[in-house]
This record gives sequence, structure tokens and C-alpha cells, in this order.
Amino acid sequence: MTDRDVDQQLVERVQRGDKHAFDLLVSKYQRKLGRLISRFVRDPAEAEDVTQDAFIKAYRALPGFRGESAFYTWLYRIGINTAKNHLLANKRRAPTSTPFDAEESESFEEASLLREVNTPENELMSKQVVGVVQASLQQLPEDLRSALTLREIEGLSYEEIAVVMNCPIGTVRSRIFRAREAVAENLRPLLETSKGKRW
Amino acid sequence: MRLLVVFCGLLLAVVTNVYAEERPVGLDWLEVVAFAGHQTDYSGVFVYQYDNRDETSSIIHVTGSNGEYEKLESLDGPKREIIRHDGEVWSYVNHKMVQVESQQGRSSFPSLLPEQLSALSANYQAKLLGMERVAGYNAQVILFQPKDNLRYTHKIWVHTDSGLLLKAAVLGDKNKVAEQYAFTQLQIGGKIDRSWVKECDSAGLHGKPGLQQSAKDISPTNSGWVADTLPSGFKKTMEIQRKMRGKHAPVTQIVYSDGLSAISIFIEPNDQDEDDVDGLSSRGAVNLYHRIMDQNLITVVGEVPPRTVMQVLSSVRYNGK
Amino acid sequence: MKQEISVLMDGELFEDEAESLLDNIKRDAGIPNDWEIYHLIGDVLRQPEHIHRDLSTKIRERMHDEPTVLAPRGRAVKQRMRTIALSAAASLVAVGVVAWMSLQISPEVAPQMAMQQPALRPASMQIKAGSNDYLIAHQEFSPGADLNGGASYIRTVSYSSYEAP
Repeated sequence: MTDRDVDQQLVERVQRGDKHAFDLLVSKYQRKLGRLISRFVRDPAEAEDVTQDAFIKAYRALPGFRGESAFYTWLYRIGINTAKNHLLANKRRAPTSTPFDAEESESFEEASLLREVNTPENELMSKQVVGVVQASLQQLPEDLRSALTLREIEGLSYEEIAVVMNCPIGTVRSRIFRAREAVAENLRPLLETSKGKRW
Repeated sequence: MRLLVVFCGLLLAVVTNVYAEERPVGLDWLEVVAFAGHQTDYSGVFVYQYDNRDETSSIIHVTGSNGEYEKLESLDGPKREIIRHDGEVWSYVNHKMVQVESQQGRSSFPSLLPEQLSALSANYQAKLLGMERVAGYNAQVILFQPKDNLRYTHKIWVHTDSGLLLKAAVLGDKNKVAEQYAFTQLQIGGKIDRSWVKECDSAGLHGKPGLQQSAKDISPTNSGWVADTLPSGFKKTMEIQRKMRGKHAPVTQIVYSDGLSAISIFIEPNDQDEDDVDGLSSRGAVNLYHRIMDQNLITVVGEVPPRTVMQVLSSVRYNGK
Repeated sequence: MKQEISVLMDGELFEDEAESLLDNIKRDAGIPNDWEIYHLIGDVLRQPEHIHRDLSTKIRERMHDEPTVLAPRGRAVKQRMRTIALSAAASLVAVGVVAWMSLQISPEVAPQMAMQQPALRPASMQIKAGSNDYLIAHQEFSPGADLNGGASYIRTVSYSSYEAP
């Protein structure tokens, strides 16, 4: 199985009536899609709304998805479509001076994103989440951190990581899991707010 | 994949060191970029912006024992899927590969000849503009400023580790963006979906007649046509006769390049099919101008400003027997 | 079970193992499950500049109002959808494609797709489909194409290069 196969399996479950399988796809792609949509929709709150709309549209359109393209390209296409229609409906154009202006850099864009976020709580939370993950990562033993990085950033398969790290695949599996759990342990208290409300 | 990234890093170091005294560093980056584009496996989403429009597409590029394979999928607008391999282009329709266009000359065209690079240094000033982040990667920004206003300014953002081009812009008058590509997401190396590569090979459409151009369809020639007025530094790189779709007679194509931009002049007998033949049209950074001269239809295409394609066309004449 | 989720999300489980695991992932409101957290970690590693709050709760709420989707079963229906896709895609006509898209995506999206954003250049000045072959022939030998690789090829297959015959 590959990463793409997991998506296909989840899609087929949704197509058989398992709504929860769609939750898993949302969890997996919400931030990737959110990032893409924020290229078109500058206001973060609006971008969030458009991202939600895109997922709902994707859910409705899922019976028609035949697996001819990868799920994520199909999803991205819906996302861009939704974003552009949102702009049209609000009589706005996709920003052509930013962020696509040759003179604009990505870091400028990021700065304005942080400044414009509506609720300070959300902004603070995002920063904290990033901080906790990065700090936890630094505290990990070298072999756990490497395994996770090779998987998440370099996108290597377990087999490829086993070659790079010169260890059995079982060890790779275990290291990646232990790395994730170690970081997750630090994240869970942060994410479970006292009101039981989700960030 | 990791080894490849390391290799590119070494390449960077070697290239910079060897040529540091002989050539500006900006040009070394171009060599790295051209090399990396062919050698690296990558998968990403980019936005192509031109004429106040934008189009988002995904691209997957992998190398194998059979050479390079590249898949482009549109993510907005009409759905299109294109696969390129070995100089040929396929469009993917209903699980089948349909050849749409063959670029026989493409695969044999070498990337950035030394003559090109020296032409570049004569015609453009390369400036290193510092570092920026694109799609989450660190990029070196390099500006190629022309020495006259007969061509465009080029600006590129190169990933410092892999040498991949992350963003590229062509700037016109007043630094206005004529066209721009930028990756928004990019995965370099690692596990990249290659399932479509097998489909490409097993489609087995190589050698089928029809759209595919045979080697005979393009042949070098000495046509006798010349262009007297070209911006300084443009040199002839190619002169061929070629068959083109829908045309009865072969078309002469003469290509001039200054290392970064190119101008093609197409000369063909006037079929009298054309009704509006005194026209300038554009897409992004590319301008096209055509006109009937005597009994011939002359078309000039290039990544140069409109005034340049028009001036070039005015200077085209027949010098042969 | 946590380790199995870790392995599943990397696509390293066999299909039947994955199926039974997916049957068992439960959702507790208020507590992010392991799948969510592990994916959040990956997202932070890859795009720390674009981390927003979890949207899945809101999305799930909205999905309560959605009828449960089911893919149409049976060969006959599948065949029909493929045929429609073929004829529309093969013609590559703008109108045909819009009609086809409306089968795939909910109706309110399709009509607006026909509206293009106004181009800065007047339509008469854009390179017409008939001239596209010159563009392709030119790009074969242009150094710019070699630099950008596949990305610049998109110039010759961009939307505006296809027009109704």
C-alpha cells in the first residue's frame, strides 16, 4: 500500500456510506488545502470558510470520483474552484499584485497573515502548537527525530528509510511511532481545553 | 534520493569554485537549474500567472532507466492531463494515452551550451538579490537584467539545496510581471507516485503512425532568408524546414537566441487561408507578430517585447538565389 | 493500536489490516484522536507558517445535514459516466467541458466557471488557437523552456489555447 492507496481506501469507504472515513480525509488534508486556498483568499477567516465549503463540495462530489487522478489533486481542484467562485461572488479578483507579484516574498505574506487573524486566541494557539511540536522534536533522541523527518519531510518509504538509517524496517516503524507519540504527548494537554472545546 | 540532493549540493560547490574567477556566479546558477530540472524527482503544485489570469497545475517529474517522465495536471479550468517523455507528448483521455504533439527536436537539444552562457553574460547583467522563501524552501534570488529594452528582465528563485527552480518571473516595462511561475507546494525526492509511468510505457504507442513526427519532418536547411535587424547579442541557433499541422508546404523556421530568450521566424508560402494577417498577439511573455510579404506569410514569435518582434519582422528578407 | 495508526497513515499496512483498523477508529468529541494529532505533527513539520485551527468539527457538523453519499453501483452506470467523460474531454471545447464538470461538481459551481476574469489584454490581442502551433514549435528551441522544464510547457496548453471550433 502507498499513501495514495490509503486515500483510495478511505474514499471507497465514504462511497459505501462511511461518513467517518471522510473525517479522516479532512484531518489529513485540511491544512494543505487551507494553505493553497489562502493563496487566493487573503483573509484567514474567509479562507477557513472557503476551505470548509470545499470539503463539503468534495463530499457531495465523491460519488463521481473514480480514482483516475490522485485524490489530493481532485480535492485541490475543487478547492481552487471554490476559492475562485468565492472571489467572483464577492466581486473580487484573485490577488495579482500579491502574493504573485514578483517583488513579494513568501515571508511578507506570512507576516500579514498573522497580523490579520481575527481571534487572538486562535493565533496564540497556532503559535503554541508549532512551538510545542518544534521543541518536542528537538528533545527527541537523534534516531527518532531522523526517522520522523525522513518520513514526513523527505517523504521516504519505510523501506527507503531502513536503507538510509541502516536498520531493519521494524525499527523504522517503531522509531517513527515513538517519535510521533512523544510529540503527541506534549500536544494533547494543549489541545484539550478545559471547556472541552476544540481549538 | 538523499544522495541526489547531496550530489547537487556538491555540484553547486564545484561549479562555484571552478568558475568563480572566470564567470559571474549568476550564470553558474543557470547551469545548476538546468541540470537539476532534468535530474531531480519532484512533485508539486504551481501557479502560472499571465495576462491577469492564473492557472494552477500539479506537476510530477521522475527519472528512470528510460529517461525522464513528466506529468502535468490542470487543477482549475478545463481538465487537462499531459504526459511528456522522450520528446513526445501525450494527453490522457479516458484511461488511454492519445498522442497530441511530438517534439522530435526537443530531446536532442542540449541544455545551456557554453556558447549560450557566454552570450548570456554579454547580454544580461546577473545580480544576486539575496534569499527568500518559496513554498517553504530557501531560495537564492537572481536577476538577469538586459542591457537594452528590446528584451525582458528575468528573475529566478533557485532552491539552494537541490538547485530546482522554485519561481520564475519575466518582467516587462516598469518591472511589471509579464508572466510568472511559482511553486506553492513542492516535494523533492522521496516517495513520489510513479504508477502513471508504467501506464505510459505499457500504452505502447511509440512508433504508431499519425500525429507522430518522423525525423524526416525536421531537417536543417539553408533557406536563404535572413533578418537584418536583431537586438545585439542574438545569434542564429537553428535553421530548419519542418512540417506543421494543417499546412501543405514545409515551413522554414529560423531561431535566434541571446542565451535566455529566443526569437523564431517562420516563413511559409501564403496559403491565403489567413484573413487577419497584420496582427500582434500575446500570451504572457510571448509575443507573436505576423504579416504577408510578397507571397509569403512571415510569423515572428519570441519571449521579447512586442516592439522587438515587430522590428525583427520588418527586417526579414530573402537573400538567396 | 496507536502504532497501527502510525503505520496506516504512512501507507505501510496491508489493505485487509487497514480495513479492520479503520473499522475501529472511534471518534470522541473533544479529544483529538491519534490520526488527527499525527497528521497535525506532519503538517507543522512541513508548513509551520500555515497552521490553522482544526476545522473538522465544523465540517462534521455541516455534514450532519448532508445526505449520506453513496457511489452508484453496477456496471451500467459506471459505463455511462465514462462515456460522457470521454466525449467531453475529447472535444476539449470550452462549453463541453463546463457541462462535463457539472456532472462531477455540485451545480452551483458549474455556471460560474464559464465567467472568466476580465483579461488585461483585449481578447483580440491574445494568441489564438490557430497560432498555438507556432508557439509550440518555438518553445522546442527556446532556452527558457529548458530552464523551467515542464512548468513552462503549460504556456502552450493553457486554457486560452483551446477554443471552440
